[in-house]
Amino acid sequence: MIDKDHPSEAWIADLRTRFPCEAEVDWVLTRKLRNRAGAAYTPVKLDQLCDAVTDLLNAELHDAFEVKNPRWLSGGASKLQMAFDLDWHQPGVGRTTTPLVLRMEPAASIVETSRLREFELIKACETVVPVPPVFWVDREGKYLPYPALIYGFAKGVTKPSTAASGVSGTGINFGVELRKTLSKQFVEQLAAIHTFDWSKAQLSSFSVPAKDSAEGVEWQINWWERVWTEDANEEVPLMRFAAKWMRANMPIIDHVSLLHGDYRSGNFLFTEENSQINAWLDWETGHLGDRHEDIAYSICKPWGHLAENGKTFLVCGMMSEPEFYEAYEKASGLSVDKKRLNFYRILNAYKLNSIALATAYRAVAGGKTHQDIVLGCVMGASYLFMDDLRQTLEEVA
Amino acid sequence: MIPEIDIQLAAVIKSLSDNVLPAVDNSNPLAGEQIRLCLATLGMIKKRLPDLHRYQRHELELNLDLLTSLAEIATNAGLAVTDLTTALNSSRETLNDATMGATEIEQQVRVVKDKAVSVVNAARGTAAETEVMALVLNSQEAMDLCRRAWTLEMGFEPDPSQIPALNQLLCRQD
Repeated sequence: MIDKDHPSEAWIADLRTRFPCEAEVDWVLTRKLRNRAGAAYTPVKLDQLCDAVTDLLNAELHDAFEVKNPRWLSGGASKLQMAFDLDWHQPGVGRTTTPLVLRMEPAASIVETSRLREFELIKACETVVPVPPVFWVDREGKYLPYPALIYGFAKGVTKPSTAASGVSGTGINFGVELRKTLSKQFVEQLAAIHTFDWSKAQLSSFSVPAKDSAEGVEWQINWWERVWTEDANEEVPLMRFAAKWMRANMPIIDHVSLLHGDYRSGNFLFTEENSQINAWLDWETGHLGDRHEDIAYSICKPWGHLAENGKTFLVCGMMSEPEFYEAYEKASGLSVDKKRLNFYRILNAYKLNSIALATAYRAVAGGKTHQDIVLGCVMGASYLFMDDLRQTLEEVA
Repeated sequence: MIPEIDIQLAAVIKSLSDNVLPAVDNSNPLAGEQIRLCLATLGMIKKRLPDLHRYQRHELELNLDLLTSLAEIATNAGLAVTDLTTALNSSRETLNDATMGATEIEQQVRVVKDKAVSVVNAARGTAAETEVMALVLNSQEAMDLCRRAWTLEMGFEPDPSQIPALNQLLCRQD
């Protein structure tokens, strides 16, 4: 019996061999296992974080600066976030005060990812879709208690002030009028990400999958089956069946796109005064791959809700599925293939189960985060993902 | 159900709602979000606690049904799966023993699931594979429905009216 709470080096080596992933992903997952037997998360005070940010900036900046007005931010189920103002000499701007956000990992996260990858992806997309400007990254937690990045504070809200939503921004109802304005931007920006020529972008922490091959698909299956194997507290026969089915049915990637990885309502900010999407957040599972993965992710049930007629499912609370596909094809000039979409529905459901049922459990059981209560709630969504996995497999397997 | 636990939980919820929640600093959104989630979670626990034992037994029953069918296929196909009979027998004993508590039942569910995965793995590439996969798929719906009913109040269901009441699902119909 493997003691997953105290992983041995032999077990880690075996997992790395069985599930080869991109190098940076492998580094992150290996670090997770090696840290697992370590201490639970202990609360960090704002002052401590300000001191650590000051250490980081001392190494990066050569002029006087001051970290001011620190405060906690809520939202999300993954990382710890502190807003603050930086009084500094900004290159090309001069002396100024910039509102910033420190986005830092807890001791273990509901999804273990690389801050460097997130930093590079956001940077690459600065001219593609609205994103907060990124400034600095502490990949290994050299200055901060844990790995972190610092980006600009983006104004906006994830949901209308009057609307209700589930945990971590799921099932947001934007209302009839707002959804019309947002849905157009939602689709066009997804198309812009997928058609962006990433080849000249600085993406050193990403491996590039070969076009017209299934290499990139296999990396994804390996990533999430490794996570499932590392973190699950109990087996689920359907998960093993799904992994096996995916390996036997990997589609070819005809067009290697940059993918957001978590493209849904709740992960963008919009300004209520003009209904414009102001920033796309949460790029941590982004990678290079098949556009159908992002499209299939957006249509997951927990992100949407039924329309006022009580019948039509609205993708991310925006539009019906046929409307979504039609608008995407028009905006991107790329096709939406039903067969590949089904494959990625299975992959996404598998991934979400690995996160919500396996990693969330492991993190909460170890007391590893600043918001175990949120993770505990997110686990409740896993059964919906599992049902999605079952239904899609029944349709296609 | 021990009445004291129910009352104690109610008291905790009331205390947090009446006195702690209003005292939480409005400028700390993290604290505000978490106290609300704590209250919601406690409310759910209070509501579900009386069903816990029945739920766990039901989960074991469903998994045992699956493993029984898988074992039949494994035997007919000559698949090599060790300790299959032991897992089946110990699960039946657990269900028949009224003294078994939550932890023991939970552990037994894990044993059964592990063994079901062993059959799935052993069937790989054999003539029995299709039958095994069909069984796994067919058995999953009832398991998921129960869990979705259990967590309904967490608000993830896009159409809650489609989920049967938990009590209805827990009444075993053979």
